[in-house]
Parts: sequence; C-alpha cells; structure tokens
Amino acid sequence: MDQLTLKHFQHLFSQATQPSVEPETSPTIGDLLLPGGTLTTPGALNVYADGVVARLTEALGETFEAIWWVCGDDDFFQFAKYYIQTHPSSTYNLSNYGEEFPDVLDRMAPFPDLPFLGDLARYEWLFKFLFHTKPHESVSPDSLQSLSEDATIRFHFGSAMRLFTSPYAVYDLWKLRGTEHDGKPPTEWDHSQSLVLYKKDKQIFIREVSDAEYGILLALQQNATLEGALTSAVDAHPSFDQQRIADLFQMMFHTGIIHHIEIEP
Amino acid sequence: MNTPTQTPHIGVGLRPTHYPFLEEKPKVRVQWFEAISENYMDSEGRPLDMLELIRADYPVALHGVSLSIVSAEGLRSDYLAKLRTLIDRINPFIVSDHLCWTGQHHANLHDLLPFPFTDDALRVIQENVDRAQTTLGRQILLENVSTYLSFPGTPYTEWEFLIQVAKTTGCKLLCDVNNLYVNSQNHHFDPLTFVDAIPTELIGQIHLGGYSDMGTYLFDTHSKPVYPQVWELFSHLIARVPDVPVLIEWDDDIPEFPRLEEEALKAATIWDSHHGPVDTKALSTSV
Repeated sequence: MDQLTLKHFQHLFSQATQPSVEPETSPTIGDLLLPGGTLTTPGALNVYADGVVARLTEALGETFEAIWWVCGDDDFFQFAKYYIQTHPSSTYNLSNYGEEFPDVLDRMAPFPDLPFLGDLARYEWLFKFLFHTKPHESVSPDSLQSLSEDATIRFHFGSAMRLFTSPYAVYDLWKLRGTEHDGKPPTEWDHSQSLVLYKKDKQIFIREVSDAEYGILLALQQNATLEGALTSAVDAHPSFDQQRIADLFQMMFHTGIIHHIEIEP
Repeated sequence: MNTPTQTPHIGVGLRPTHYPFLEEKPKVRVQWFEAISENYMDSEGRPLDMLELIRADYPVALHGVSLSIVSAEGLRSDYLAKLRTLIDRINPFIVSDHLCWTGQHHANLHDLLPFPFTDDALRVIQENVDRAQTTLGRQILLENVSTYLSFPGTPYTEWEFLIQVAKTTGCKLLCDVNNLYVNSQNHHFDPLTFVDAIPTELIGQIHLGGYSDMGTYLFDTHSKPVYPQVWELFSHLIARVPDVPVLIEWDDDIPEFPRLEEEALKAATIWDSHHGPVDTKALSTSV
C-alpha cells in the first residue's frame, strides 16, 4: 500500500464507485482493501457506490420536486439515474447539482404527451436560484415622478428578478405539485405562460404577465431604451394601450424589480 | 451576537425541520447549535436568516462535509473563500469538517470517503490543513469518520493516524464516539483502545449519534437514538475531557425538537455524573 500514492488510490477508488461504472470491483482496488463487518469486497465498495446515487438522486428530487410529482417515483428515479451516470458532480455543494437536468429532459423527451418537462425543470432551477439569491436594492417609486419625457431612459433590473416564459403553463403545474393525480397532471397545461419572478422583503413572488408585458420587460432587460421597448411592444400588440402601459410601470415600481434607472438627456 | 465566555457543553445540530419550532424562540435546554456549513455558504435565503436568528442567541459551530481535507488534488479555492465569508458573518466558536476526501474535483462523490493511513496521505493532509487554517484564519477540527472498508498493511492504525494529523498540523480532533464504535465493530478492534489512545488535549469536540445495523455491517446513518454501547464509551471519554462541547447529531428520521433535546440531556446527565451539573439554562438568558 505504501507504494501507491494517495492520488493514484483516489483515482482507482473513484473509478470503482462512480455511478457511470457498473458496480463490480475493479481488481486493482479490490486487492488493496479489506471489507468491513462481514461484507464482501464488492459489497463494501457498493456501500459507497450506492450512497453516491442515493445522495445525488435526493438532491435532484429536492430541486425538481414538480418533475418528480408529474413523473412518479419509477420514472423520476430512472431519469435521475441516467443523469447521474452521465453528469458527474463538479460542485462542492450537493444542492447545486442538477443544472443541466432540464436540458437532459428536453433531449430525452421521455413522454411525448408531456412535452413541458424540460421547461418545468428549468422553472424549478430558476426558483431554487432565486430562493438562495440576495435581495437587491430597489429604486424608490418616487423616482418615477422625476423622469423626464424627453430623456432616453433605460431601466436596469435587480439580480433577484428573473423573467421566464414557456409555451406551457408550467407555473400552474408547479403550484399543484404534491397534490394527488392519476398519472395525468391535473390541470390544463397546453397554453403559454410568461412570468416575472422576484424577491422582495426576503420573500419570492411570482407574477404572471401578458405576452406584451413580457416583451417590454424582456426588451428593457436586454438594455433597450424605454421608448424602444414600448414601440416594439405596441407594434406587436396594437391593443396594448396607454392604460396598460401605465399599469405595467406601476407594477415595475411597486414590486421593486428595478435596481436603477439610467437617464441620458 | 453572543460569544461564549465558558465552554458551552451540550448542543444539537441545527436542521431545517426544526426551523418553525426555533423561529418562535422557545426556551430550550441545549446550550449551542451546530450548523452544516454548506447549507448556508451559498444562500441568502431563509436558511441563512435562520442561522443568524439562532446565532443572535446561541453560540454556533460550523461543521462542514465538503472540505475534502484528504484530497490529493488540494482544496478548492472557491470553497475556502465561501467558508471564510460565512465564518466572518457568523463568528462560530468552532469550525470543523471530516478527516476524509469526498471525491475528485471533476467528479465529486459527496461522501465521506476512506483512505489508507500512509505517510503520503499524512503529507497531503498537512499541506491541506495548513492552507485551510491560513485561509480561514483559525484552527479547524477534524472528525473521525465511519468506514466500511479498510486497508491492510498501512503503517498507522486509525487512532495513531489521527494523533499524527493533530500533532503535526495544529488542528484539533472532533471525536465522534458513534463513528469510533461503528469502526470498532466493522474493523474488529476494541473501541476503548481508540478512546484511551487519544491525548485529551487534542480533543476539541465530541459528537454522538445513532447508527443502523445493516446485518453485515454497522452504517453511520444518524437516524436513531444513541446506542447504550456508545453512551458507555462517551461516559468513559467525557470523564477525561470535561471542557469539551458535546453534540447530538440526528440527520434522518429526525424527531421533534423536544425528543432531540431529551437525547442531548442524557449526555448532560452523564457529564454531570463526572463533573457536576451542567448549566442547561437557555443561553439566551445566561450568556
């Protein structure tokens, strides 16, 4: 054993216990160890190999609770196992594992009749991000009064605000997680949903917005001027009138999603 | 924020399942809490709010599971930086992790993994502890872990290796009596030999918890009350080290807080039997 460096040992041990490897003893590592209790050598290595899968599955289950709820135990565990086998964890924090799970669900497309799984998982990852994010400072609603109509204005949103859109009603689905269903999600999910997620006073809020409102918020987030964002939105949605624009701006200031305002004379 | 003026003796692990209970600021009979570092390092959400709420009234220890002090690849700079930030924020009275590795940087297994007790491992640990203590600006404690396999032909026993680590790095030991007992059964040695071998001045904290008997081996699950054999070992150990904080860990099938507290008070009773009564008044009024 003294001949073997720690680095080499750790490489061999990882190979023998990583989920991508079938749980059979690598002869090299097996010769080096003595199993505990009355375990066999493969049995002792499997204690560790099984533990890895269990912990990573639990981490995915905590983050992607609604995916688990929609799919049921058997399918969720199967997706998790596949993800774990193909995506080793490179994070030190177990709860940060699973960033690519939504993309993998998209690629796997396991159920043609449930095409929303990738977006639902993406929403859950976003929610987790927001849960752990520090609330940002917001501009005061009073600053709206002092804006000049002639100025070129850009709104910069805070870091604890995210926009989300999907062709499926993932928020409606997510709200129902934990309720009982008979294999079919108990809601009409086949319509689009656009959302603003934000943190205020340490709480997360989710607000559904119209396509036009989403378009304006997205344009502003992408650094468009206020005038540019409104022009594009009104062109695309002619019914989006002055009152609805005023309501949107009321909401933007009321929710505290604006971190600062850039004004060019 | 309270800083203990004397050793806070009996504590319990801070777990999310107890947040609603503790948020109401009940009078509890444990003197300190231990928080899992990783649960708070990457969060500005409710967990950190809860930790700060607890810290306002009680001493807190930070106990990590991902330092990977035995990693031949070295320690992760991002991990150390985040831990340092949390330490500066919480001002814990103890910072600890496990004497183990957790996987490779590109493939973290998120487990407390065994390794052979060799001179090469000792050298790696010395370098890593030095870096950790320098970066964190303080002494750390390292806990003996439960293992389900061992490596014959290594130059040190587990306890000899632990002593070497502590003596050559300046860290202290977090003696987990449950893990010690689990290993004694899994690897067929007398647990008292281990307990008696550790110099008292190297022990900075004690952990107690419950294992699961899997039939072919004992498994460290922290899912049960402390077993009588472990209480006996604890009694034997605590007789020699009066000034060491003791913690009950319960991580799976977690009971209501009063049941956890009850388990902690058993430890206090054993402590009392050797050293006189522990002050079990809530530190919200006594510190």
